[in-house]
Amino acid sequence: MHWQRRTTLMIGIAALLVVLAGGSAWAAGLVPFANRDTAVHGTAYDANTVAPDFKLEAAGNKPVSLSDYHGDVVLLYFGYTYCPDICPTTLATLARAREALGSKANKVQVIMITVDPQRDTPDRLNAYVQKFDPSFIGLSGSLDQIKQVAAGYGIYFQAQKPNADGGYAVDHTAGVIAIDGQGKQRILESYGTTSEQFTSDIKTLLR
Amino acid sequence: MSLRFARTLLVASGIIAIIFIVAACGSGDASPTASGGSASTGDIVVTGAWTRPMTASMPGMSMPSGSPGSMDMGHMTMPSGSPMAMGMDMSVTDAVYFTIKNNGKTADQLLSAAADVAGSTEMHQSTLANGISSMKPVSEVDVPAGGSVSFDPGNYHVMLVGLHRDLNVGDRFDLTLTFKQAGAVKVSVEVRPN
Ligand SMILES: [Cu+2]
Repeated sequence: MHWQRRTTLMIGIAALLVVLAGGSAWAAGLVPFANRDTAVHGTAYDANTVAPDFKLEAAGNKPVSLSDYHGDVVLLYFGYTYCPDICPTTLATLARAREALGSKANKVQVIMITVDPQRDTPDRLNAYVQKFDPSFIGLSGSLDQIKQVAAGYGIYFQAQKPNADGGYAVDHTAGVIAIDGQGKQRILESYGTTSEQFTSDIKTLLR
Repeated sequence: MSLRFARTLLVASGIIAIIFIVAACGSGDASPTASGGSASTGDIVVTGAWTRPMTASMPGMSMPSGSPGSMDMGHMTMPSGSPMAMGMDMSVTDAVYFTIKNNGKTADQLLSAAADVAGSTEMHQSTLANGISSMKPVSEVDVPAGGSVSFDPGNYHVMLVGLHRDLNVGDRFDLTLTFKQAGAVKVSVEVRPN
């Protein structure tokens, strides 16, 4: 009888500890500790870094400049539509981040600039980015124009050798550049940044 | 009375803890989404197969205005007569993700993937070095005995090249994975945004 009661008690205590440990870990997972204030998740650029302006082509060969979005937070991404993994993952993350912003989302413009202008026409890019969010825009131009814009943002890209079918992948810097309403280049968000982290950083830039 | 109450409380917390542990173990073994495709053949179990929605037809490529007969792409030149340069390449790609578990005592290898929804199917691995993403074809993927391999965004994926039809949220299609030991494993792939 005594033996039984002690065993029950010990199992009970062990169970209670498990519940407490599991519960607090769960709570911790829901409430991130770091960056709760004004600190950003990505890498901040030097203060007063002006985002280089550009003029490229959107759907219907409509010219679009960065300065058209003055006053908005611009999330600039360099990718390509034949990219099945990294690019869609990033665009889906940005779509979720924008969704979480509610009414503030109309102050956020996602722009994807192609690193594969040979295959990505403005219309193809447009069809692609709108699969993720109808507000997203895709820009293309000549290879020289794209090279110049990419270089201005410290973005590397290089097409790989084509396979037997003529298909090829393009290596490219995978980060997202966040530009504030004043046209300042503020944050580089590396690949793997979560939608919650994007939402938080966008809110910081909108303040 | 109070001792009895304490015991009742502890026993109750024990039951809760057991439920907690069982739930945790369950979710560890199962696919990330219960609704994801699952299939098994012998010792190989494939779970949580999914892909993102994508349209099969996108505006094709056109020659940039003012472009000469060939395009310089840095290290390669495309003749203007090739199908791609003529604007006929309308192919759209997508990536399929899943988890492979090998419950057997011998290692296995995923050798190939095939799906009717696409013109061709390739196994790829994305890598990230110094912030630069790259994607390379892989000829086989080892699945160790008693181990598992995840095909996840930013790592391994089965790339669908040239979709034959639109993939809309909620759609399903079959993907056949061929293993060296286990042979063909048919997986149902779910189309969902994330
Ligand atoms: Cu791929």
